[in-house]
Amino acid sequence: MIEALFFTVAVLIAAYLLAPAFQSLELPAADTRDALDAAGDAALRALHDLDLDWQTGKLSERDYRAARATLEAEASEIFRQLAEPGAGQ
Amino acid sequence: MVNFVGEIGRFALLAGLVVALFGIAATTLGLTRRHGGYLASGRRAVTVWALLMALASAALLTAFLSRDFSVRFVAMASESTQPLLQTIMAFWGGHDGALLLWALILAGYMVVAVWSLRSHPDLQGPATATLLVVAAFFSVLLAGASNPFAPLVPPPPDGQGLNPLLRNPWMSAHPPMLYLGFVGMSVPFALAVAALITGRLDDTWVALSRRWIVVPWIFLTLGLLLGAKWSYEVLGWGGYWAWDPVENAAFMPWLTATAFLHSIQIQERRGMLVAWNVALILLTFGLTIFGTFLVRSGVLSSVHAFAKAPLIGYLFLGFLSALLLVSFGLLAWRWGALKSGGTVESVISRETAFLANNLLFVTAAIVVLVGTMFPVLTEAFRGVKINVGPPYFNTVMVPISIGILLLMGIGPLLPWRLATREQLARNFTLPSAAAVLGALMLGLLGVRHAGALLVFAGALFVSGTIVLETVRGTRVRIRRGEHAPLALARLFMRNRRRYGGYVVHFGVLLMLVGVAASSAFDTQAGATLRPGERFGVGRYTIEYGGLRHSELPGIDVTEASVRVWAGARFLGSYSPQRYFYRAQEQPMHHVAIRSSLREDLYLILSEWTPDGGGTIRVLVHPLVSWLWAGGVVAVLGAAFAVLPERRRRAS
Ligand code: HEM
Repeated sequence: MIEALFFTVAVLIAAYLLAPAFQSLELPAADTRDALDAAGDAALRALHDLDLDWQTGKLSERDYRAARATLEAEASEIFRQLAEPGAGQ
Repeated sequence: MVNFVGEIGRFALLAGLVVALFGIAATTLGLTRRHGGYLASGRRAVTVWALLMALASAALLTAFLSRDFSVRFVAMASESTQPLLQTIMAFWGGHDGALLLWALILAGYMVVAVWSLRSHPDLQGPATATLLVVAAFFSVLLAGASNPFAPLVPPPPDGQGLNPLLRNPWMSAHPPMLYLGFVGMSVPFALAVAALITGRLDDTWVALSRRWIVVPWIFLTLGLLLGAKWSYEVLGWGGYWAWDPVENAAFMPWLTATAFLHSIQIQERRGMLVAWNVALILLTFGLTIFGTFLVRSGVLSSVHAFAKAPLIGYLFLGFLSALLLVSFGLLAWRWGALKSGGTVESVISRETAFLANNLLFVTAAIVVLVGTMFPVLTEAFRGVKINVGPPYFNTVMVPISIGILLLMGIGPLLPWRLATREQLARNFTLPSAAAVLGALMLGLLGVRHAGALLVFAGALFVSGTIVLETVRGTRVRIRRGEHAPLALARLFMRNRRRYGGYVVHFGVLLMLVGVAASSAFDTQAGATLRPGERFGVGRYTIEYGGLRHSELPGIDVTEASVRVWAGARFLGSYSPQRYFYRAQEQPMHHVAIRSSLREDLYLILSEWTPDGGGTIRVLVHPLVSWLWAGGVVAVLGAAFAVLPERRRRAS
């Protein structure tokens, strides 16, 4: 009796597992947009943190300006790429 | 009905093994042939495996609740008089059940991780395969050598009962927390392997790993704390940490995970240390498996016991070696691509502070590893087991901890790249002054212990830096027109990671102060007294009132009544007890603890005479409650730091 139950469950599991294997699902292309997105987030966080570091007095004005300029340039380059039509394709 | 539950359990575990192996094959084929359907099959295997582990767990729980002693594990870990909570705790009160709980937790993590990786399809496949390999390993153990559903014929009339040491509420939460921490490290491990395979150790990986390591880190921290609390309240020796191998096994991955939490920030900001970060994750996961091996294989009690006995030890060792070999092999293979861009420009910068931080945490992990393995290695190679004992650990770990404490104040105040002299002076003058003044005052008050003074001064220094950071950040917002409470709240809410991190640091410094004070300034005394007699310990007077004997199901209880005064002030009556578990022939302490912010009074009934005399041991531990409070603060801070932040999309 219980063997029959186990057998049925095993068959159901097998059917469920194997079903998608017979479909030819499109494999999603490696997503460069995903990485760019994360880089964008990181760049914005870096700017935000830099501002806080400056406001709480950890940097001299000269260092702050220089670092801010570098980070801004990096961030805008990332967002330029993200804005390009077809980014990540 | 008999054994019906056992059969369901055995079926679920065996099916689990098959499904995990199928999932590995399907995912691997899907990745190599670039076939989306196979990958989808692999993801379904994760779901089915999770359901099967849930089914097996439900079966085991049913077996416990229905007291089905035809299941050997149930007969071993429970008995018919056991109350409900203890019967449930018995699930993980022995090796086989603990492994099943482990698998159940892994199942939960896997379902969430695989689902949440759907927006990163190229990482999802390899991560799924890696997680399924871990799942398959546990399935091999559960379906074979450690099957919790192994039958017992003929079933005994009653079980042996849960180990008395484990019948305590702190203990009930301790193992699940520890496993949530240990098992959770599989996810960052899988992400690291996936990133190595795809070559995507980029910002996506950084963000995902950080999130996925903070969560198990929180559980691991809680597990360590609960273990310490259990040791303090149940073992009755008055301490909370003994450098016991089982404790060390949980502490090592905590150390490397904490190192990672900091070094990942260098990669995030400067693109440096990529390979090092990957290595830390691989190591952390390796240490969780190694720790489980240490605890579960019996190698610690004796190398020879291990060599003679169980297959399971070899399985663990084989799995661990294969894991490290493959994952570090992948790392070596990617080595060329991991050349990091940046360089450290100045010795006085956030980067160097983090490097020093990592050096200290990794050294600490190595120190603990050496100390833990020393008896095993000496026994294996020289035939004699040499324990290094707490003096070794304390001698090395005290300076390391003080170093970590000081760095915790310095690091956060340093800017990235380089610091200038004016800024250093501006940031460090006040906290240093607070530390020096505080140390002087404590010295004048009679505190002479150099190590403790250093920790107290260091704690003042770090507190100073945290307060300074908070005040300055709030002031900027007030200047912009926000009210003070709102400004403070927004400062925290908008900078969760930073201020959450500071809260964690504050918790850690409270803990270190608690540890330093309670180990440097503890006093203890004991006396054998007749009813009505008194003795003094420090500022306390203890009066012994006599004994009372009673019975609980299966347990003889002996209880002393003790009245306590501080000077002339009556503090209350306390009853330290001794339990004797008849079936297990095991005595246990039930100590009485009077806890306050200032100190703990710890009362132990150690012995008694037939005519009603009793030996009372009294320990006075200053600031122990700071340790628990600091732990809670640290955990809350980390939970705050990892709360999702709104995506800032500026123009
Ligand atoms: C036992 C000791 C320590 C523990 C448990 C600890 C824990 C933590 C945690 C959990 C975070 C939040 C990380 C995140 O959410 O990603 C954090 C952040 C941080 N920790 Fe530690 N830490 C310790 C020691 C140190 C030391 C020695 C340093 C010195 C370099 C340090 C510097 C930092 C910094 C700079 C941050 C980030 C703050 C920010 O985002 O600006 N920590 N720490």
